[in-house]
Amino acid sequence: MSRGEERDRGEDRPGTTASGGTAETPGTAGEDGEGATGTGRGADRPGDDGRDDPPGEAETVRLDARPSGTGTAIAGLVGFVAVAAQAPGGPAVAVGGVGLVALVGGLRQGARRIVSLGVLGLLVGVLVAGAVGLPTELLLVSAAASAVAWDVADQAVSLGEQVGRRADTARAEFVHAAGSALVATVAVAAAYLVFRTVAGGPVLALALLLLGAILLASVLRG
Amino acid sequence: MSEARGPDGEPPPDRRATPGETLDRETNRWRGVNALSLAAGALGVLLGQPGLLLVAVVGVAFGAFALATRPPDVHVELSRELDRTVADPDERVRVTLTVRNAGESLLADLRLIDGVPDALDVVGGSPRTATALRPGKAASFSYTVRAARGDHEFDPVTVLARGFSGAVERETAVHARGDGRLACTPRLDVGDPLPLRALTTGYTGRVVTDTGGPGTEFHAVREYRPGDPLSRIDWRRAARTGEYATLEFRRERAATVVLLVDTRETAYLAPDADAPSAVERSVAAAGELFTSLLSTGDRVGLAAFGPGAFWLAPGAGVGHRARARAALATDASFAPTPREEPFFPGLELRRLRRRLPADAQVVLFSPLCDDYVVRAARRLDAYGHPVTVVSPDPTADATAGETLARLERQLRCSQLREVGLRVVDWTPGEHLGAAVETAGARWSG
Amino acid sequence: MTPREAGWDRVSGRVLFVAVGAAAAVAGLAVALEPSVAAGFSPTYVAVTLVGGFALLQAAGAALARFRGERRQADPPEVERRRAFPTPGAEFDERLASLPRRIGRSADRQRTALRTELREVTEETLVRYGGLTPEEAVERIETGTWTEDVRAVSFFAPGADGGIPLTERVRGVLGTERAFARRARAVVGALAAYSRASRPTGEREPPGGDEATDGNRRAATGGDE
Repeated sequence: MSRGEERDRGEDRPGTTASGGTAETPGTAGEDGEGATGTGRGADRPGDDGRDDPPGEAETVRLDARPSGTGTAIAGLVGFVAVAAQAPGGPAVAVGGVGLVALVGGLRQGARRIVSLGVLGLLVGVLVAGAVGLPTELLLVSAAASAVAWDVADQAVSLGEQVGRRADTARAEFVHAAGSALVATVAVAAAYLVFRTVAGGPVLALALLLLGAILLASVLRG
Repeated sequence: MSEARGPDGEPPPDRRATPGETLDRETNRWRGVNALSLAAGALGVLLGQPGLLLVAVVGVAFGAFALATRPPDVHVELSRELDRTVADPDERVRVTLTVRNAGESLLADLRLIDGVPDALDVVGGSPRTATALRPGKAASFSYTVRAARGDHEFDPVTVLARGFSGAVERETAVHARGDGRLACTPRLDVGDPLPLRALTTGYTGRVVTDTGGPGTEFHAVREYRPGDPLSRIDWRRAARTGEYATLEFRRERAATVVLLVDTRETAYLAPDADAPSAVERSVAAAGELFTSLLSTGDRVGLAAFGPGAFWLAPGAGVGHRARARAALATDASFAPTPREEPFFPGLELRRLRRRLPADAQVVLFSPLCDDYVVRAARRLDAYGHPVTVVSPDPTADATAGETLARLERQLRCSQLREVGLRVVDWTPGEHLGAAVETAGARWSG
Repeated sequence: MTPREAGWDRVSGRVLFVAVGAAAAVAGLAVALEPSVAAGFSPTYVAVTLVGGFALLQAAGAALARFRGERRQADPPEVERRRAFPTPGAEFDERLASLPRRIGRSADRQRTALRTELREVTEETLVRYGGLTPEEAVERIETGTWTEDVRAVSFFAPGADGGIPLTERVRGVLGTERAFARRARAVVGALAAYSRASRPTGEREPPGGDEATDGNRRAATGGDE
């Protein structure tokens, strides 16, 4: 399959010539590495789409190990939901807010430590909100959203380190986010079910029951 | 498939899988979720807030999610397509990689890093991608590389796969079917002709001739002997003094030159990451010189002093030139990255000595950054093969070590000049012809 | 929790957890089924508080462990760039930088090796660029008269270092870079200046176009330009 003759490079659309199997729906992985999914990719250097560079003018690309714009956006959105759900709780939202800022800032820089700190801030914010008595429904939403934000942010950082910002990772990020959103939904539904069932009984009973379940679950399944 | 373990039971991050091998790593990305659930439950109890206990339930659910620690089954088929497999230097070549999920389960988090050859740069797009594939589905991505001299082979693709929870990552390496080689053969055209007379001892003998023409020049006058051709009598002297004398002309004899390129691993040096290596410059210089010498009627050969020990005996003609061009472009002995094979310099030097024609002179291309090459050059010279050294300078002076290396190299040049070898010190960015002229000025000055 | 998590999560902790968890579950069931059991049990709350506090400590420890960042994943190489080749002299810098700080045999050996190498280069430079004889070069090195840089001089001839100012000595004691390395760098700097100031002597004229006969090489007279 050697090709000695020159082919017009600008017309190759690899998404439509995938050998073996059908190509995935275009718009994500079907295009070349520059893929235009329109999610604030930014920072692409002009003139380096690799198709029609005059010789000698293109620079070697380096791995840009920061999370992609898509991942940052999803994590930011979910984190915002988590913090917004705490709004009725008053000043408790401050901790979550700081965490959100750190999360988004860290993702834009690709600084894993700051992202971890941000996630921790979100989670501690949930605890604080629960401590001051946020209504259970909002608290559950906030907790679930924080967990999803944790997942999406870590995924974005990991993708940035291994695959880089220049590559098209939107599909992988969306699928992954969908997975953890599903888990979150199931978890919230289960918790709410428990809440509705045990509501009205003595707090102590509920407390001991749940504490026991938690401890057992943590240990036995670990 | 074998699994490899590092010191604490897990392969280190920079260990790569070989094709057919899988490496599993636990990412620990959910670490702490159980502890946080615990904290929430504890706080809920301490503060009497049932809401927090429910938060703990959510946390436990995620903790269970995180326990999916079975690595995914990775069966992928990869195929690579290059938009050309033969290119000129600096041409852009587009590489397209297609991945198909040939297994039976969903690959939720699939990351690919293509094995771009060592000596090529990526100038557009990204050789990496991340995707999610249902069984039977495929995806592709492309990027652009800039072609450089050599016969480049693509390495296996690094494949990283995780499940939905991401708790475990499986790494494998998969060869891609389809185009796997890119060959790039520079032309051996010469811009300005090189000042060759400075480089080779063209006058290897005094031959009296009655033919004139290019390459002859006046040499001496001697007494007339009966039988000398009339056209060679110095008539001016005869008119002046009445004595007959014969002019002697000297003809340049075609030289036999062997171009010897230092391709040992120690010769692959560069002043910085973007500059061409000394071997690269040596190969380019050897190509230029080969063509120049052939065009002046000399017989030229080519050899590599390094693993592979390439040898092309001195010759002439179009076919010979083509062989040399092909070898300098794509032979493994002149590869753009060093070879891993063992090399025994003493043995190779002896073999070289046996192969060199008796009247051959040697042009050695070497950065002169180690002491052995100096000994080798002197030995060849002592064997009766005049040696000229063309030395691309890979030194820098940013640190003390680099300055010292630069100084040591200058000392080696000096050592060689001291015993009569000619050394062309070729700085980066300088045109080879200019360097030869500069050096030549001190030789015949 | 995986067995590899550091510090806090030890086997004994897990046993404790199981015990407390089982007891709590049983107690919870009892209270749920028979609320009157809880009426006179305020000490239970103290016990629960203790357990809760312990759990919080565990959580804090795990959070810290996570923050220390023991995440592991494959670290693929940077394939975007072509292979970069070393610059000559990088090993010398490496050796200087990795000199052990403690006094000991291996440190002495490394220092002696470096000193010998630098000494050879210095002698050769003095001979070739300075036109000295080898004996003169050795003498100048030993008496410290080959250069004006006192640090370079003191590298080879510690006795002749009377000129090092006090501030320099103090810095040598307190500074992070070892005096040896600093002096070695001074030697290299002095040699570089030496080589820039003069041209090599003793290089012969190679046989040019004129006088050579088959394979015989005659050196032309004279040496330098």
